[in-house]
Amino acid sequence: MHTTQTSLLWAVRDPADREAWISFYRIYAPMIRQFARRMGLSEADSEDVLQEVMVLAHRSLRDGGYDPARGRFRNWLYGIARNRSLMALRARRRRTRVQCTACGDGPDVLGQIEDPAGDQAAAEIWRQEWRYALLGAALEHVRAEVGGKTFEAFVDHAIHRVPVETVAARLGIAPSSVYVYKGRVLEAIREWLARFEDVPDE
Amino acid sequence: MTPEPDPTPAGSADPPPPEVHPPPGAEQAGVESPEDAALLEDLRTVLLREATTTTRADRQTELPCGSRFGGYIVGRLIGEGGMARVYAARDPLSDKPAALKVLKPEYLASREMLERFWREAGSMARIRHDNVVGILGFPQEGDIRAIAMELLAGRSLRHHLDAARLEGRPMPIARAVTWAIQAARGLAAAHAVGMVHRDVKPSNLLFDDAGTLKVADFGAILLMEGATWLTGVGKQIGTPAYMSPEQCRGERVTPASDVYSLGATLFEMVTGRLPFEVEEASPLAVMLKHISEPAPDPRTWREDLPRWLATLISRCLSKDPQSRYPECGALADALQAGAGGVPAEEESIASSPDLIDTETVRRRLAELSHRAIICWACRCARRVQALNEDPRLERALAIAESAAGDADADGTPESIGRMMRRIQTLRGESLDAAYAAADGLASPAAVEAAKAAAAAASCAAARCIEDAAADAAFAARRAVSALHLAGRSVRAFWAAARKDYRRLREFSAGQTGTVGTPIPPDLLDD
Ligand SMILES: Nc1ncnc2c1ncn2[C@@H]1O[C@H](COP(=O)(O)OP(=O)(O)OP(=O)(O)O)[C@@H](O)[C@H]1O
Ligand SMILES: [Mg+2]
Repeated sequence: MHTTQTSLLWAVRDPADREAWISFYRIYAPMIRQFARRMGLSEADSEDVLQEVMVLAHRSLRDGGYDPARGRFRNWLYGIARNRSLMALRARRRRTRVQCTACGDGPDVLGQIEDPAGDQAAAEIWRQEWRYALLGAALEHVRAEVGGKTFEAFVDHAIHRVPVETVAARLGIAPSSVYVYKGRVLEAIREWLARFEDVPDE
Repeated sequence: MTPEPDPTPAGSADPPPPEVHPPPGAEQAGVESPEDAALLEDLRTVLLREATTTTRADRQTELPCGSRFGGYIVGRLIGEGGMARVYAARDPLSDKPAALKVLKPEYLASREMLERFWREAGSMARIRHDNVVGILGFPQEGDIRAIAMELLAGRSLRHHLDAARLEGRPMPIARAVTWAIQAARGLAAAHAVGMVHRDVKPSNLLFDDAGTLKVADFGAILLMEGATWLTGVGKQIGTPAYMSPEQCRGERVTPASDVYSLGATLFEMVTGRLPFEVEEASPLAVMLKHISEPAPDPRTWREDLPRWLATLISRCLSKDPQSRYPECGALADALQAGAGGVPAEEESIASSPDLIDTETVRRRLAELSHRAIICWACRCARRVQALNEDPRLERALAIAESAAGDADADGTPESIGRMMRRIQTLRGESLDAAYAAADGLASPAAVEAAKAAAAAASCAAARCIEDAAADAAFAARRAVSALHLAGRSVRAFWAAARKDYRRLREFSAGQTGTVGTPIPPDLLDD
């Protein structure tokens, strides 16, 4: 079990460490997939992009291609994901002559990313997806850590805003416990995020 | 106490507003700090997305090969469009093939839209015409709805247009006219009873194995509109490339709207381009052109286009529906009258001797025996197995190869039952193995190749030779991308695959479609 991003990235370098690779895939695959989808690629094309990014990232990590001293992992991975998505978009443009016959992607994505302002938008999408994917992974982790009832109370009350009494009655716990559980889960999520969020710049 | 079913379930559409009844102790525990509130908001987004992402919900409408749906046995996945997946299927009672168009869940959300669609579809189902895809029924299981229709062996006009463009040769005029007449006759059958297709475009014009064109997907666009209604913004309804001005403006459609769309399609057939193409344009820009820019003269791009045909196309593309042919019957007649002067096409669809694309591979393989197909697919997958040397993958392949044995089933009810069970297991096991491996492997494309080989084997064992060939072709394509990603020679792979194919064909000559004698193990040794 890898407890920080740094230790995970290190462990992934060992080709024999299957478990590390699986953890890596579980955490980072969703953001790459969603990013590609939001760049306007079809589901099938996004899966291909995901595969390619994973292969490239894995190989590069193994060969020491990522140097933490030179920047955040988040930006490094973005570089690969952006690049591959652009290649897929170009390939699609060659396939379908007219941009607007594309699969419901709204305005011309490719042209937009290729100009600097659009590129900013792509970076913003990546930033969001990075956060969502980490939150998703944190939720998975915390769900297993704190156990069913605590997590259920948290989701019902804190996420879905079900009134405390209803939650307490349904789960057969004291209303004050609902607050305690909520605090506990939030704390655990924060703690997990701190270990996997990137080391801040400078 | 036993937990009661929650009256406000998680994911309920309208959660009660926060703090309607301030809980006791809210002052000390219920108040959220701004940081907590922000974090919770993000968590809410994450959970909501998990519950609604199409990828996840989509999986529920994926039908595994060999499973049953609404009385049909599901075969391979033929293709996927914006709102549905299309599967080859078989009706076990009549032993007749069918195509199952399974709607994606987001198009099933609104009852009103569904009803509108089924009403339309029900009337379409009553239209019987040589140039209309026959509807067989509307099977449903649980929440999953599908349209069962005639299975068409040929490709869509979209494929033909893409192929012509890639090869840089324009479509012979006689052929374009013949196909346009067939499409117009099919649409006319609908117009005659007051129905409008609404989404005429090349991907909805399909061919049967005799090469006859058939119009598909009547009224389907209604579901798309439904989805747009539901999702509000940001979702493009179909493609505007062939859409009439009145549709672009959101006005009422008439048979003349189909005349316009077929005119745009015919324009593309003869010129190789769309009437309105905008470099890097948004769909909106194309819609604006449909609404306000006069259609160009097709002769600009096709000099040898007969004048009568250019005039006919321009008339179809009039902005004002009143200036077009009123419905497709009139258009068909006009085409037929003009076609009298067009010399018949000399047949020139030269078949390239090489296995290059998935489609060619599929057609070629369908000429082999069941066992030979399994063998070929497994060899493709074997060539990439070397990249991974994963024991689970090895198992998936071993299962696939052993299915060759099952292909010997003698056709008694017991042996068929045994075979079907075996296929289920095979499918399940190989998919499990493949998915397990996909989590950890450096080359998921290799896994896909093995998976597809297993699928080919299961289809071959069930004697669905066409499906087996399609899956085997897919296995080859995946093998190519695995090798490509790993930096290996793709050319060498194809050369070897071609050699295998030739040897297997010699071997299975004369036993097409039958299981025949087992393949001697040394036949394919390198
Ligand atoms: N009856 C059929 N027999 C054989 N193939 C079919 C049949 N109906 C559809 N197909 C194929 O299935 C694929 C998906 O069709 P579908 O209608 O879902 O998408 P589309 O027409 O490409 O796009 P859209 O979603 O915009 O309609 C296409 O490649 C089409 O050629
Ligand atoms: Mg269609």
